[in-house]
Amino acid sequence: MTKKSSSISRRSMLCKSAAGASAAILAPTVIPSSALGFAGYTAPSNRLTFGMIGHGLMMRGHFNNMLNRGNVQILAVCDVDRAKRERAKDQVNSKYSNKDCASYNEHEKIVERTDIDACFVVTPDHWHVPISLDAIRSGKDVYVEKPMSLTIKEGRILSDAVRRHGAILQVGSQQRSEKSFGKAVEMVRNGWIGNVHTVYAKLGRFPDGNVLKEEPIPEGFDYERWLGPTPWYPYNKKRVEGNYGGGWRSYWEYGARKNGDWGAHHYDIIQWALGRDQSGPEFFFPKGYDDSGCQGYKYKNGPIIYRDFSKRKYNSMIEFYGDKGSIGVGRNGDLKTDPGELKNQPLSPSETHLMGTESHHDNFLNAIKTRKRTIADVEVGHRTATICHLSAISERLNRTVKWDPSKEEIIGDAEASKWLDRPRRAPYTL
Amino acid sequence: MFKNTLITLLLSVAVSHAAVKELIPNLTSENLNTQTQARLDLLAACSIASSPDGSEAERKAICLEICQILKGNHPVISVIQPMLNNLERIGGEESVPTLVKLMSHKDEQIRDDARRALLVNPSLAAAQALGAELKKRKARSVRTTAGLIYALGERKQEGASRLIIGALGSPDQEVFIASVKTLGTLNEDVGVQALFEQRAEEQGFRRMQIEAALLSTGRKAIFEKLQNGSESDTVRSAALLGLILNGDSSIAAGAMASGKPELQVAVIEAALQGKDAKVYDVVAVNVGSLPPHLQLQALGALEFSGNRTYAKAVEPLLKSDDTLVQDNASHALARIGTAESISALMTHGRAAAKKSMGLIDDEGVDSALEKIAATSTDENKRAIAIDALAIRGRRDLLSTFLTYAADENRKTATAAAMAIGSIGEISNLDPLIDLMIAQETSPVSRDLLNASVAIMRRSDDQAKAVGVLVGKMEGASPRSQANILQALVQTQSEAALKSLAEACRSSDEKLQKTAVKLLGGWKASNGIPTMLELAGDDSVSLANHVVLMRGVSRMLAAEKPKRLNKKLAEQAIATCRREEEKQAIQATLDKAK
Repeated sequence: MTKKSSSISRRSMLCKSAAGASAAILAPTVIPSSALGFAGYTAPSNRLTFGMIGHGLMMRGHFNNMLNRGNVQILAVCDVDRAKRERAKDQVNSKYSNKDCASYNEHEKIVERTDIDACFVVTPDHWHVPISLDAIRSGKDVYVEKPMSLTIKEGRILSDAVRRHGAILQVGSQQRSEKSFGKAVEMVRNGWIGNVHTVYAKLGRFPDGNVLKEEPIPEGFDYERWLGPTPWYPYNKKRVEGNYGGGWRSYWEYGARKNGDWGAHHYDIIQWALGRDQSGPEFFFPKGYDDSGCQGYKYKNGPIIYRDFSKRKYNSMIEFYGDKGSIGVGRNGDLKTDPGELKNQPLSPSETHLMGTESHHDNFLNAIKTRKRTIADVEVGHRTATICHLSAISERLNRTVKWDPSKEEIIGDAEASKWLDRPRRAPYTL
Repeated sequence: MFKNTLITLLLSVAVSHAAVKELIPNLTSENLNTQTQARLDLLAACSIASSPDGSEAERKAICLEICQILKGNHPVISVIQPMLNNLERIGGEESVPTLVKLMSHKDEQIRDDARRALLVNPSLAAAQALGAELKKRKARSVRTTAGLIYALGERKQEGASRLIIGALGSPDQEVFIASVKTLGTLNEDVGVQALFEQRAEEQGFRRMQIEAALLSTGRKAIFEKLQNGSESDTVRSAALLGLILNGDSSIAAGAMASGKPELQVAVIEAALQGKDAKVYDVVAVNVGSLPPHLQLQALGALEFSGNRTYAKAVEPLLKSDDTLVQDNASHALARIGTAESISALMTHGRAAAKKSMGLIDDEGVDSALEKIAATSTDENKRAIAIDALAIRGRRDLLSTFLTYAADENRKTATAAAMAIGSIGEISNLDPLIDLMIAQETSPVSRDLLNASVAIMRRSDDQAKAVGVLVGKMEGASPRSQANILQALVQTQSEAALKSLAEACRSSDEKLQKTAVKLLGGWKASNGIPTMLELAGDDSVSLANHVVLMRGVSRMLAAEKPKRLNKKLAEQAIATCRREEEKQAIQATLDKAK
C-alpha cells in the first residue's frame, strides 16, 4: 500500500501555526546552523520546500529569490544539462552549508518526492505543461513560466487538473504584479478612458528559426529529453540555447515565437484590463488583413489589438485608446495618460480594485499557505496562452482565424484546428 | 460560369503540384537559408491548399503529391521529414496508405512522424491502421508501443480500451503510463475497472498516475470509492471535491464536521470552485472552529463569496492568535465587510485592517470613518480613520485633512499630512506649503514637506508645482525656505535650480549651507553650469566650493565617456581650487579621450 503521506498532510503540518511562527519541536535535520526556529529564522518544519526545474537564463531570478528566502528551502534541482544542474546543486549546498540538495536529470524524480511542496517549472515552453501536470497530480503546487502551454488543448488539460486536485498555480506573467500595469488595468476596467476601441502591443520579432547543421551532442546533455514531446531534429547548439534574442525561441516547434514570448506578457495585461480573463478574443488576423500593416486580433463587442503598430503615441509597451482618453504603460514604472492627471486619480470603494500589491513570488508563496487563487492563476494563464497560440496559428497559416472562446474551438477551418494541439513524439504523454 | 470555375481550380491545383515538386532542390540545397525558405514555402503551399477558401480537390492533390515524394529515395532530414510534417497537418484518407508504409521506415524518427500523422488524420482508416499496428504480434520498441497506445487515446478511439488493458501491467514505465493515461482518457467501463484493479498492484509514482487517471474520468462512483478512509489524504480530498462539485453538496456538512483536515480542505475548495450557497454556508458556520491553516483557506473562499452576511463569521478572526489569520480576515472583510465591520477592524488596527476599511464598498462606512476622524478621543483611531478615508479616495475631504494636519496631536496631524500626500492634487500645494511655513517649528512640518514632495512627484504639470513653491519662497523664513528648497530639488527643474542658486548666495548661513548641500547633490546634468558659476565665485567659501565641485565631478564621471562634454569638463578643471577635485575630473576626461 502507498504510504499515507501527501502534500496536504505536509501542508497541515506546515501550517500548525498559519504564520509559521510556532517554535520548532522537531530537531533541524537539513540546515544545521541557522534554522533553530529562533526569531529571524523559520524552522525547517515551517519552510516551504521546493524543487527547481530548468536552470537556464530565466531560472536565475527565481532561483536566487528562493535561495535567499528564510521561509523557503530548495530540496532538489533538475535539468537535462548535467553541468547546469550540478552548478545549481552546488549553489544550494553552499548557501545551506550542507550536501542535502539532490540533482536530477528527470523531473519525475522531483515529482515522486513526498517531502517537496512545490515546483518551479522554468523550462522551454514545450515542457511547461507535461511537468506541471505531473507535479499537480502528485499533490504539488506549481510556479510555471509563461506562456503556460505549448498548445491550447494542453492548457485546458492543465487548468482542469489544477482545479480537480485543488492545487495552486502561478504563471510567470509577473507584469500583473507590477504597480504601473495594475494601475493601468484599473483605469481601463473602471471606464476612465471610456470605451476602449484600440490597443497596441509591442512584441518585436525573433529571427526565423533556420535549418541547422547537425552537431555532436555534448557530453552530459540529454538531448532526447530536451526535445521531449516535440518532433525530432538533429542536435545543434543554436536549437537548444536559451537566448532572449532567439535560440529555441525562434522555432515554432518549441513555442509561439514572439506571440508567446512577449505576447504572454502584454496580451495577458490586455485580457486583464478588458475583464476577459475567463474568455478571449474571437477573431485573429495576419499582417495584410487591413491597412494597419499589423498582425492582431479582435474581441466581440470589444477593441481591436494590433501587434507592433509603428505610430504609437507614447512608445509604451502597451497602449489603450478609448473614446475619453488613452493610457501608455510599460515596465520600470512607465505610465502615461491623457488626460495627464488621470493616473493620479484615486479609486473609490465602488470601483474595481485589483489589489495586486505583492511581488509575484510573494503572491505565489502566500497562495500556497492561504490556498487563494494566485494573481496569474491557471485559467488566466491558459486564456492568455490561447491568444498567443491563436495569433501564432494565424501568423503561421497566414490567414484569419475565427475562435469560439466558450467552446474553445476554431470555427470552420479544419487545418487550423489541428494546431489546437500537437501530436506528441513517443513515448511522451500528457 | 461553371467552366470558368473549373479551369481556375485546375490551374491552382497545377500550381500547387509544381510548387511542391520544385521545392525539392531547395530543400536539399547546401545553403541553409535556401533550405529554410524552401520549408517555409512548403508550409505556405500546404496552408493555401488546406485553407477553408480552397477546394478539397486541391488539398487532396497536394497530399498525393507529397505521398509520391515520400515514396521516393530522398534524404530523410531535408526532404522526407518536412514533407511528412506537412502531411501530418493537411493529410486525409488519401494519405493513410503512405503513412502506414512509413511506419515501417528504417529510420525510427520517420516511423514516429508517420504515427503522429496518423494520430491526427481525420479518417477512420487512420484509426484502424493504428489499432491494427498495435494488435500485430511483432517485436517493437517500448516507445513505439507507448506511442501507439497513446495515439488511440488521443483519437478517443471507441472500444480501444480492450486493446490496451493488457499493457497496464507492463514493467516498462513508458508503456504503463501511456496505458494508464489512455484508459483514463477513453473513460470506458472496462478500462476504468482495469485501472482500479491495477491500482492495488502499484505504489508510488505509478499508483499516483492511476489515481490521477481515475479522478480525471469525473465519475461519481469513482469519487465515492476514492474518498474511503484508507486512501491517501490527497486522493480523499480530490475525490470529495469531485463529489461535491458533481452536485452532492449535502455531504459537505458531514465532511466538515468530521474534523479531518483532508476532508475539510476539500469542502472549502468546493465552495470556492462551485459557488454553491449551501457549501459556502457550511464553511462560514465552521470557520471559527477550524485550525489556523484551514481558517486561512476558508477566509480566502469567503472573501470571494460575494455574501456580506458572512462578515459576522469573519470578524471574530480578527482576534485570532495568528497574525496571518488576522490579516486574511481583514482581506476578506475588504470584499464582504459592512459598515458594522468598522468597529472590529478599528479595534484591530493593523495595516491590513486599515486597508480593508479603505476598500469596503458598503453604505455607512464613510460616515462611520468621518465621525471617528472628527470626534474620537482615541488618537490612534483618528489616525487610522484618516488613513482609511484617504485609501477610499476621498478628495472631497482634503480641506478637512488640512485642518487635521494643523491638529496639535502629532498622530492625527501626521496621518492627515500623509493622506494629503497620497491623494492630494496640485491645487492643494498652496495651502499645504502655507501650513508647512506656519508649522515650521513643529515636527509635522517634515510630514507636510513629504506630502508636498509626493504631490509634486506624480504631478503631470511640474512647472506649475514648481511655480507654487517658488512663489512661497519670498518672505518665508530661512528655515521654511530650506524646506521648500528640499521639495523643489525633487523636480530637478530649471526653476528649482534658479531658486537653489539664489539660496546659495543667501546671507542666512543655515539656508546657504542647506542650498549648497542640495545643489551639490543635484542629479541631472543641467545643474553643472550653475554649480560651476557658483563654485567659481571667489566669495563662496572653500567648504561650499568643494561641495559644489564634488557634485560636478560626480555628474561628469556618471556620463558615458563618448557623451562627456569635454569643454565643460575642462571648464570644471579650471574652476577647481583644490588638486583633489581637479585630478578626479582630469581622470574622467582622460577616460573619455
